[in-house]
Amino acid sequence: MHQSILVFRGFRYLKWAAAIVALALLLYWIHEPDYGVPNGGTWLGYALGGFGAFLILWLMWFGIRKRRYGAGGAPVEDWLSAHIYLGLALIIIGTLHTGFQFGWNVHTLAYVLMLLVILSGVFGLFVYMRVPELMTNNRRGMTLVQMMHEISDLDAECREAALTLGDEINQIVLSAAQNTRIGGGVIRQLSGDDPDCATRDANRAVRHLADNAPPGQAEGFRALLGLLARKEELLARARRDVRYKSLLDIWLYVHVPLSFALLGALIAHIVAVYFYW
Amino acid sequence: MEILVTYLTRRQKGGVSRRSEERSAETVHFGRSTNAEVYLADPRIRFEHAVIHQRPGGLFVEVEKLSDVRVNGQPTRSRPVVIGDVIGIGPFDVTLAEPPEGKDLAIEVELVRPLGDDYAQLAKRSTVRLVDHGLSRRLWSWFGILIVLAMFLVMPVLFYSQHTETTAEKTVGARFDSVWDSGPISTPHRFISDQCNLCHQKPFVQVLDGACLSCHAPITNHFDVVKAEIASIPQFKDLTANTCNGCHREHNGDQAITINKESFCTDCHSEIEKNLPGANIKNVGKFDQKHPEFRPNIVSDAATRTFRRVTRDDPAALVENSGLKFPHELHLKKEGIRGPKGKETLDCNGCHQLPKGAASFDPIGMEGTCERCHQLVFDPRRPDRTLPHGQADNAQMLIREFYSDYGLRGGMNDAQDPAQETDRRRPGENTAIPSQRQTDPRAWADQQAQRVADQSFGKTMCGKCHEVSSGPGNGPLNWAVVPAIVNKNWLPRGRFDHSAHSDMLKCDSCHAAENSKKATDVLLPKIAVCQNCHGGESASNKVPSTCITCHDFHLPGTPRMGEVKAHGNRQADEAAVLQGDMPLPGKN
Repeated sequence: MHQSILVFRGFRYLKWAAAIVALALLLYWIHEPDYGVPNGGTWLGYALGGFGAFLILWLMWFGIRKRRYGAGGAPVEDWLSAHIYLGLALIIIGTLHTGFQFGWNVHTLAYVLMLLVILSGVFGLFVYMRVPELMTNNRRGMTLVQMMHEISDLDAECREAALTLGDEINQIVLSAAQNTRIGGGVIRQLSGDDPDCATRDANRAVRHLADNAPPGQAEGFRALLGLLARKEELLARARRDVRYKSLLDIWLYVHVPLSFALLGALIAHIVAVYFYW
Repeated sequence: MEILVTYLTRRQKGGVSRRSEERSAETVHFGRSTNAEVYLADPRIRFEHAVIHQRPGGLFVEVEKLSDVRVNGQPTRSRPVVIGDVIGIGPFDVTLAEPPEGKDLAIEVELVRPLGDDYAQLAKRSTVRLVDHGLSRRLWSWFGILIVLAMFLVMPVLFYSQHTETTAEKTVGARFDSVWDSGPISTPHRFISDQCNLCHQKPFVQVLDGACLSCHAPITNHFDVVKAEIASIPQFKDLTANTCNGCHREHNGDQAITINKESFCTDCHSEIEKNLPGANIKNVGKFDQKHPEFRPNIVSDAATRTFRRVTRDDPAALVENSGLKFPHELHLKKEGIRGPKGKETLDCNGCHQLPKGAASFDPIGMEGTCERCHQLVFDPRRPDRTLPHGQADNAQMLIREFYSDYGLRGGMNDAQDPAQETDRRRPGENTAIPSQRQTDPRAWADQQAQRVADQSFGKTMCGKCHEVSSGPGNGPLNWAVVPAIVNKNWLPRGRFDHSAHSDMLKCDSCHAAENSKKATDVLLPKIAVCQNCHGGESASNKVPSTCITCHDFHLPGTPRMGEVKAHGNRQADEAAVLQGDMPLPGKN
């Protein structure tokens, strides 16, 4: 039976992460820095920084581990669950490591990048928890390709239905078929909508023309409008599907590159600290 | 006009299927209308697209308004056509063929530009995956890591390698290593905060003492490192091996540049009595629990100018022999004390002056303080003549010279001579002959001088405040005054800032002067008085106070820090940097 990655193995990795965070907080609480100011240069600062750096490398290793399908050891579900909880724990570890000293420097850059990576991960987690169900409900057993085939079929039907109607209607129907797009740019894919949807425009225009249509064409108009409405509904679903898919993908375009930027900042941070010891 | 309309359809496998229809009409209509003689089922075709007429001159094609028709590729509105012409109507090619027998016109219709595959076109128009936008996690990752490494690692290292100045300079342009700054520099060092390499002289080596000592050369040590008994303390080696940055850390802003933990001191000083028995230093632990009672440095004998340290809680030993007789109680009486212009009430500040912002009071002395009331007038007839304070021999000479001069100028017979009334011969006291019958001015002057000196030194003036002694050989008139020592600092190893405390405390909050009847009282409060307000380093309900709140590490009279050679493998680095004996910042 499917089990959420969050409750995986009875919150085993949540407990681990909570224990690590509790230990870090306890140490920070009882630690009396030599100079009265908590900072990354005390023994606790070095310890938290070292552990934090190790965590970052280990969390990044997940990107490699998840592709090694045949790899032994813990299943990838364990890795993902631990990745999530230990990644969240890193917020506390990293913050305590800073000693709440921030500035316009590589050290704070690394910290901010770390937070952005974690934040994008939290977004990804939220999306992965929420979107698949919405996606399934939206698809109603169809794939996007099937939807698009059906939309194309509707285009043909619309054209046929329009043949008996006026020239303007035919132009509109043709345009609806030829100019309707699904998805598009990144923003449009994420929005799940197309404000310039040719089919919507066509539907509106045809409905307007239908009001003034000669009585003999009423049947033809009704058929056409029915088809256009069905097409529009299908298009909305297809676009929502694109939106869901892009939501599932987009955060990784932030999460992964920022992770590597963080790796660079982490290297620069560590070298800088020892270069100007 | 009889017409044969043939619809041609090309099969996928090759070959053409033909479907013919016969029509009979004067005008051949082309269009989407079901009434059209040539029915063209395509949305690109207008309802009534074009017509062909039979005219006397032959066949004519007429094109409906807004429609698109080409004859043999030439767009047209109206023109004659002949057998063999190909008329392009929308996506259709209409060929006028040779009519078969019994027909006037043969028309072949073929859809040559079909609409195409709707799905393929929709798919072509639609972009439904983010990856189709050229987004690449890998590319962006490389970009991210490389740009960060270039800006925050390579640039600063290159910048460092190009900048080796050793003096404070006004920096020009961007300092690429400023991105490594781990926090604000303390105010005193901020003037060199732009120049990282002034302190960070060697990469991957902690800041060397030479960098600090290039400015702070005179800073002294904590002890005399060459003393053998100190060198035998177990912690000695740790302390001498320590470098400046072992105790001093920068980049924490103004909050802390100096290590301030009690344990840093108590590591040694909790067992200092055992480790350094001859040093007369007491063991000390946490300030609020194990700080020893004050041991003020008090005057044990003013005559020989000797001091000794006695513990504050031993009343028998706590006797300051300053050579003075001064009852605080008398001077601070609430009902007042006789002053030069009548009764007045004194307070502490009447005598003890604390300059604004100063840690200590001005030294107290006769001049400007006591002399306002205690004037050294020795002859009431001449209140303008006073004795010089602090010069006992000189004062006695002055007295004698005064009366010699007075006698020579006829003063012997002065009816107002106060001595005439007080001159009584008491047995054994004074061998001098009563004066008024004397005629020898010298004898008179000697007698007068001795009388006045005995009074002044003995009781009315000097002896009132000072320890005095009389007898042959003590001075010109046989009197001597013990030079007084007013203790300036009971606690030479500690620091106390009176100004910092005067805002919120009154003098008698700490010093019990109003009840002090003797000058030998030591009015230093016990440490418990300090502990009323000051707690240990982690106190939360008192002022957190650590060792360096009151005590210095770098003690005067000890060798300079720079003279202590660093131990261990830092020595080589140190030597390399110190080789040039770096000049002070700002000077070449």
